This record gives sequence, C-alpha cells and structure tokens, in this order.
Amino acid sequence: MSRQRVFLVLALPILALMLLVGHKAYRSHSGTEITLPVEGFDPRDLLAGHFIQYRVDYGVPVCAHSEKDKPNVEWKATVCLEPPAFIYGITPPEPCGLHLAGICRHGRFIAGIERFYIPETEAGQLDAAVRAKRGAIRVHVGGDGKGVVTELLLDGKPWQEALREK
Amino acid sequence: MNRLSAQLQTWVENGLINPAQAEAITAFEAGRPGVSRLMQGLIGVGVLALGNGLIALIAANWEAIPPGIKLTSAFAFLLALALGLAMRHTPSPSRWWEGGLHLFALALLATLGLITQIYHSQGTLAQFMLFWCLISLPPVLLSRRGPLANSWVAAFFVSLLWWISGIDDSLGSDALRRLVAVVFALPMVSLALARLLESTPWATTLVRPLRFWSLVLAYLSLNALGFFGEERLLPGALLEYLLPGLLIGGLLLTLSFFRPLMEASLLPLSRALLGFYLFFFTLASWTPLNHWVVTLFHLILLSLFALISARQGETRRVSVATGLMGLHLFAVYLRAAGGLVQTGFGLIVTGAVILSLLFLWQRFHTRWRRLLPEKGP
Repeated sequence: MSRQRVFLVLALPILALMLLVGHKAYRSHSGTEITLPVEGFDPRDLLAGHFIQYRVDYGVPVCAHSEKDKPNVEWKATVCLEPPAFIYGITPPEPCGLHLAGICRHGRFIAGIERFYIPETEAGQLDAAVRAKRGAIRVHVGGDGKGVVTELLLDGKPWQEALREK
Repeated sequence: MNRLSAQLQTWVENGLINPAQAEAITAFEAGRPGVSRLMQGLIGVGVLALGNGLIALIAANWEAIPPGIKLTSAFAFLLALALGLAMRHTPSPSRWWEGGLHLFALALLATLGLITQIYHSQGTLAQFMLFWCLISLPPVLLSRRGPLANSWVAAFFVSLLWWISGIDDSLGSDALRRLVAVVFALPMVSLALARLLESTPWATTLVRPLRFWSLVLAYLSLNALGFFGEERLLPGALLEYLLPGLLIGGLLLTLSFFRPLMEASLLPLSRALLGFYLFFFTLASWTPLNHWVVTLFHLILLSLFALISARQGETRRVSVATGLMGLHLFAVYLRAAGGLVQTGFGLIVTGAVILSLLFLWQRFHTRWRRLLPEKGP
C-alpha cells in the first residue's frame, strides 16, 4: 500500500472526529437558549467520575404514570417548556412554544442533558453546590426537541465565575 | 533457540539430519530478524502507558486551557502521528511502526473523550466504546500483527455485550440472563465473521482474533450457565433470548454441508462440536442439569476442541484444552457437590473412562482414522 493511501486511511477517523465536533458545535450554538434548575436525585450518584449527574426540574411532574414504570422498558415522552407540560409520546401537547424530546426510564425523564463534565479539582465544591439546590443548566434546544447542555450555573452565574467570587 | 537446539540434537541422534545440517539450520535461525516477543511486549507496555497517560490528562479536564486550544492540539497530534506513520510505512512494517499505530488508536480514544467532555455528550460507556471501535477500524486494518487487532476485537465484543444486555440500566437477574444468551450467540457470529473475512485481503488481520475470541466467548458462555446453579436459565422465555444464537448456529451447521467452513478432514469434528454446543446450551437453559452432567458436557466439548486443534497442529490450543479439562475436574473435587463419597466415586469413574478411551484410541486409532476424510493440501 502506498504512503498516500496509508495517510488517507489514517485520516478517515480524524475526519470523522472533526465532523463530530462540527455537529456538536452547531447544536451547541443553534436553537433556543433556556435555563433549567437542577437538583441531585440520589446523593450517592451525584458525582461519578468527572461529571455531575442531576435531575432537571421541569416545573411539572414527569414520567409519573405508575403503569408505565416497568424495568427495562422505555417510553418516548415529551416535555413542553413553554408552558410547562408533560405528555407520553413524541408529539408535543398543544399549545407548546418549545419542547424537549426524551424517554421515561425507571420513572425518570431522560432528554440527554442530565450530565455535565467538570474538572477534577472543582468536583467537591460543585457537588456540594448542586446538592444544595443552587444549580441550574443552560440548554440550547433545537426545533426537533433535542437539547444540548452548554453551561452549569451556580446561583445564576457560570460555575467558574461563582467559584471565583466565593 | 534452546528448544530448537534440543530438537536438532534429537534429530541428529536419530539420524534424521547430519551435524552439518543442524549447524546450518541454527545459523539460519540466528540470522533472522528478531522474533522477539519480549521486545514486542515491552513496546506494547510503553505504548499503553503513553496512551493511558494521554487519556488521564484529558480526564483531569484542565479548565485553564480553553476548549478550542485543547481540540486543536488533539487534532494536530493525530495528524502528526498519521503523517509520521504514513512516511515510515513499509511493506513489512516493524514492531515500532505497529506500536505507533497502537498509539494512534489510543489517541483517537483520548480525543473522543475530550470531545465528550467539552460538549457534555450523554450516552453510556458501551456506546462510547462502540463508536471508538467504528472510527478506529481503518487503522486496525492497517496492522499486520496481532496485538492491536486482538485489543480491538476484545473491546468490540465487550462493548457490544454491554450495550445489548443493557446492564447499565439494571444489574438484575434479567439483565444477566440476557447477557448469557448474547454470549451464547456471539461465538458463532465471530466464527461466521472470521470465515467471511478470510477471503478479504484487506481484512485478514481480524481473522485470527475473531477465531480466538469466538473460543473464549464460547468457553465463557458455558461457564456462565454455572452462575445460575441448578436454576434454569430461562423460566419459560426460551425463544426471546436463545433464538438468535440457535438460528446463527443452525445456519452455520447447515452451511457446513453445502459450503465447508474449514477443510474436509475437520468437518465431522467441527459439526460435532457445534452441534453439542447448541444442544447443551439449549438443554441447560431449559431444564436444571445435575452438576455431573454439566461436567460431562464440558469434557466432551473440550475433548472435541482438543481433537480439532491436534489435527490442525495447534499444540498450544491442545495444551489449553487439556489443562481446562483438568481444571474442571479439580473444581468438581473442590466443590464436592453431593458429598465427598459421591465426588470421589465420580472422579474415579471419570478418570477410568478417560484412561480407557485413551488406551482404546492408541490400540485402534489407525483403523478409526481411516473413517475420517483425508487431510487437504
């Protein structure tokens, strides 16, 4: 195999990763930006590795139908953000200005925004702050209902700024 | 070299070769470029340390460095590695080149981790690893030696198992049953893939690892049944879990009659091995089996495998199979299920049967071998 071909073969995964970065950057900057409060749902699992996991407070009960809460079963669901409402299925309720698509699993609504990566050195402080219900997340929501989390807020400010002021 | 010298000495003493020929062979082997496993292993250790160090640095998530600079540096490193590997590529790549390829695959993993961190990607570890397996396949196919392809196949099967069984969601017995059923099917999938890729020139590097992991997975699946003890694996829901494995295994068996999966002399033994594997797994999933029956099945399967390996000249595999048989019998003794008396009688009978069969084989093997098809060229 020629050297040019070897380089092309090795460049393929690099190109794939670049496309992935482009896609994620586009999703992070497009759509409507909203802020949602978060809280820990299980103190033991609040911090795993170097990311925080949390439960998002949508302002309405979500995935509360006990008959649908079965192990290993997922249900597609939609949360309307304006005005707050929840419905099983992929069609948002009428009227709904902005919505998040996700699934219900074990009584939790999973929309792909439940995890935020943090530096190892700040993990303890952020963990305590989110447990104390001072946390919120900034999310960009696209027209298709897919959300991308872009920032973690403490007391309404980006977490780096909040920790610096403290 | 010591083993070669001892072998040559034996041949000289038995008049098969003369001393001059033995010397010529020794000189020839000494002059060949190093087949140094130690060198290969140490290069692998160094590459792993470098690669894991990269991943650890990224996992620390240094907020002091802006994400843009982190990404640019990561891609620059990948491109530089790719360029270096391309420029140093030769028709017979060296171990250092293979080490560089391994480092490239690990750097892809580290960059994927970086992207996940910067953009807070969701998803499970299994999905992350499967994506890495997908994008790292091109560099893996460039490899001409075992380690990288072996690691890739292992990572692929482990991630696939984890993802299909859904163990991330629940660790209950239901997830474990799904896991065992998937492990049952995967060896046959792996074998079928290996057969398909044999005639694909650019993918032959995956054939040996796929065959190796099919054996490992098959052995793991047999032992996994032991997790459930005397309890049936599947209380009623047989088809949902076992059907894929049974279908694939049945297809392989059927195809072996129309389009042989291996040379003719190995077909009867291979069919027997596959058939027994399917039969035993289905039976054990459906009804509780006495531990002696389970041990007997394990021994039959391992014996068939040892026979196939012996006919293929794979002496190491024969040693592994016979070692595992001994281990099974030792485990039976340790468990002493049913009491020491029953265990003792059982082991004596088993030992006597094995030795009798070996004695009969030694006396009549020439006649029995005539019943098997001739070995191919």
